[in-house]
Formats: sequence, structure tokens, C-alpha cells
Amino acid sequence: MKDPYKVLGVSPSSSDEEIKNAYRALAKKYHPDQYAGNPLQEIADEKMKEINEAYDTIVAQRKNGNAGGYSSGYGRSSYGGYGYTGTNTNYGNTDFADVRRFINMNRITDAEQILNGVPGERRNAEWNFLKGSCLYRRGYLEEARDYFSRACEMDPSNREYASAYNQAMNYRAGNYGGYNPNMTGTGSCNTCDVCNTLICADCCCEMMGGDLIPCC
Amino acid sequence: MFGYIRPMKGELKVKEYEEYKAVYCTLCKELSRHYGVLAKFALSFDMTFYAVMALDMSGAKPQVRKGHCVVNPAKKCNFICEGREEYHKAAALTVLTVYYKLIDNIADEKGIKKLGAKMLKLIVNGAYRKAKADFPRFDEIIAKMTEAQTIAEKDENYSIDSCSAPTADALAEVFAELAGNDSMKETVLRQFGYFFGRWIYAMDAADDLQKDLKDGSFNPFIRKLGLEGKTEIPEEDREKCDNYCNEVLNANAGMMNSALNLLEMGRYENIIRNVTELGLAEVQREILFLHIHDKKGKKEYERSI
Repeated sequence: MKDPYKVLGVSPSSSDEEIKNAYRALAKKYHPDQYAGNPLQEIADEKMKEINEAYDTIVAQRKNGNAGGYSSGYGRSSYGGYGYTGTNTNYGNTDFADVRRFINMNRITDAEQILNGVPGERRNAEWNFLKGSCLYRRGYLEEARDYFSRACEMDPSNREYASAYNQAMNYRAGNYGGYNPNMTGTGSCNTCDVCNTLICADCCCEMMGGDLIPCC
Repeated sequence: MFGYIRPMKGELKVKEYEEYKAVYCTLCKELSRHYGVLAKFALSFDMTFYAVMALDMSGAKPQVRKGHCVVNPAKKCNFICEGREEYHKAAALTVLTVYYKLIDNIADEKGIKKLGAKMLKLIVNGAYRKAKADFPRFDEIIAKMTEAQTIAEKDENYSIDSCSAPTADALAEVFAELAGNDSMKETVLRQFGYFFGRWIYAMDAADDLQKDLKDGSFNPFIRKLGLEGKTEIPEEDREKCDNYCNEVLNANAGMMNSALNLLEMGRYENIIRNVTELGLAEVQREILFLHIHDKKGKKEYERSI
């Protein structure tokens, strides 16, 4: 087994707090939300497992060594067993068990072949979701999103479809990279921001009975 | 390629900036050394990024040496780990992409531009033959990409996904090759390269949208944005179009970052992360929101600095 301190990138002399922070940073980095339905899902799960084990080992070691109490396995419940539950294990209640099996085995061409052979009237919400999942795995993000969106429209109550659609939308909003025009990050402040802030401040002052900008 | 892949300078440490610049200068020098004095004019930020990635993956220990700049002999530059395979590969890729871009232009353009491309091709021919002999695999990849691109754009059911696939597939191969024998690393690098290619293709298409509409040229965004038959983006749709292109780019940039999260990187990690997390965002902002490539936008941008 690897040295748990190395896995977390900390030194054995680090404080409990430092270790917890290092673990949290890594858990965020490998968070399964980003990798659901993606070819890297397995690798990310593996990494997640590795840091979970390392963290647990350190916590256990320190608990035995020190008397200090310690809450074990931070956030495990929220990180364990995530993902599209449907494509992973749950074959019950599905019209397309074979397609799901192929997707899980990463045999996307086979899965698509079956899907493309399904006649129009049987192309239900699940069909759209699975079609989207195949495209997503191949990196066809735009078309995948359209299919996820259709699956959600046809069956708005399904959480599996909704989580796939939301994930696609999170990526598009710039939550994992790229540029988010609605966020004034990097300390930029244009003329509009200055005016807006002043007007806001003025309104607040007026509410409190004062006045910042006398003319408005 | 296109020069969209660059770091956000202000957020690099001075030493990181100098290292990045040294890689840039070394690549420039190596381009001349391997492919003739004219080859250095094909130097791009994109290939510099590839070189940084390649050096990082190979775990090269940089040895810095001072020397004269190739372009401006009065200037002194730092050069690092010269003579390494990584630079040779980046140089060959630069030559190959330029050559195939010219082939593509000869097929697409008319009149004076076609003639220009033909003349340039004569100049590049020698370098191309050498690059092909040095790395036949790269030549195969880029040739396949160029061919697939033509087919993808002629298909009447084209989409942004299908049009960006040739570039994405090519870069997936190019980056996967950096993994050596590590199969997990290969999977991650392949995924990274795929979305890297998609991002570059989409950025280029978004940047050219206005021009392509005016010239009546092909652009993968035209149909999706309902701009068929138009010669310019109507003012009221401009924001919608920019936002749509930005979302497409965000999705790809996000996938690149999530792939990098799973990659163990070495001494260039901060430079690489700067490029993918900040540099790409900055380019999206400049092109899609500040419109620095429009005449009007450029003026405003300069003023805001």
C-alpha cells in the first residue's frame, strides 16, 4: 500500500487540520460529479478511493497514537456511490438493459447500433437519455445535451435524466472551466459597476433616511 | 494553429513566465535548426503549450542557457534543454499543421489568396518532407484530420460536434502519445487532447463567424444559431450568439480541466494550469465579450487597458 501521507501530499508532521484541508482539496478535485458518464469515471473513482483510504488510515493511526478525538471519513457519505445510478448498476425497470450493459462496458458503437435500430414510436425518455449518454461518452457534448434535454421533457420526474442534464448545464455555465460572463471575477470593475454600486448605495442611504447622491 | 492557447501572463509567477518564455524561444530556435530559417515564422503559442506539456510528461530537468535571440540578435534570451526530442516533435507538428493548412487553402480559396497559398506551399515543401520523414505518425494524423475535416463540412447533417471531431481526434492522438507506456495516463491524455481539439476548433469557428457570414463561407455555428442566409449577425442577436459560443467553449474547457485533475504533473504544472484555467477563459472573454478582433471592439479594449 502507498504511503497515505504521500497520497494526500502532506508530511507526516502536518497537523490534523492541514491533513483535513489537503483531503478536502483532493476530494474536490476528484469529485465524481464531474466524471459521471465520462470515460474517466473509473480512474476518478479509483483516485477517490485511494484518498479515502489514505485519509482513513491516517485518522486511525492518529487516533490510536493520540488521545485527541477526530471525526473520521470526512464527507464520505456525500462522495460515495455517486454518478448516474442507472448506467452503473441498476438494470431493473429498464427497456434497454442491453444498451446499458454495453455503455457500462464502454462498447459505445454496439450500444448506439441497438439504439439506432429502435423504431420511432419506442423512442421514449429513456431512449433519449441513453442516446445522450453514448454521445456524451464520445465527447459529442452539444448533441448529448439536446438528447438529455428531450429525455427530461418527456419524463420530468426522472432524477437520473435530470442529473445528466444538470451536469451538462453546469459544464456549459463555466463551473468547471472557461469563462462565466456573469461573474465579475479577476477584480474587474467597469464604469457600469461603479454607477450601479453608487445607485445602490444611494438607495440604501435613502431607505435609512439619508442621501448619498442628492440629485437622485 | 491559431494562437489561442496561451497563459494569462499576469497570474504567472515571474520564474514561471520566464520558463514559459524560454520554452517559446527554444522552440523557435529548434524550428530553424530542424526545418530551415523560415520555419521559425510558423512558431505559435499552441505549439509552445504542446512543448510545455511534452516536457512536463517526460520529466525533463531544465538547463537554462543564455544566448542570442534568433529573430533579433541584439536581444538575449534564455534557452532550456535544447536538442530534446520534445522540441523536435513540437517543431515537426508546427510544420505539418502549416503545410496542411495551405493544402486546405489551395482547395478552398480563389484568386489571389489561392495563388498566395500555392507560393507559400512551394516554400514549405522542403520542411514538410523533412518533418514527415522525422515523424511519419504525425504526418498520418494531420493528413487524416485534414481529409476528415473536408468530409465533415460537406455532410449536410453537420453539427458542431461532428465538425470539431477531426481536430479533436487528431489532438487526442497527439497528446495520448505523450503518455509513454502508462495506459491510465494515456486514457487521461487522450481525453484531454480530444477536448483541447474541440475547444480550439470551436474558438476558431466562433472567432471567424462574422467574417464567414460576410464571405458566405462555411461555419459550423451558422445553422445552430439560425443565421443561414444572413450576411452578418443582427445586432439584437449578437449577445445570444456570443453566449451560445461561450457555453460550447465552457463545456470543452471544463472537460479539459477535469481530465487534468487526474493527471500527475511535474514542474510545469502551474504553467499548464494557468493556461487551461485562466488563459482559455481570458481568450473567450477577449474574443466573445470584448470583441477585440472587430475594429470597434479593438479600440474599446485598448482603452480599457
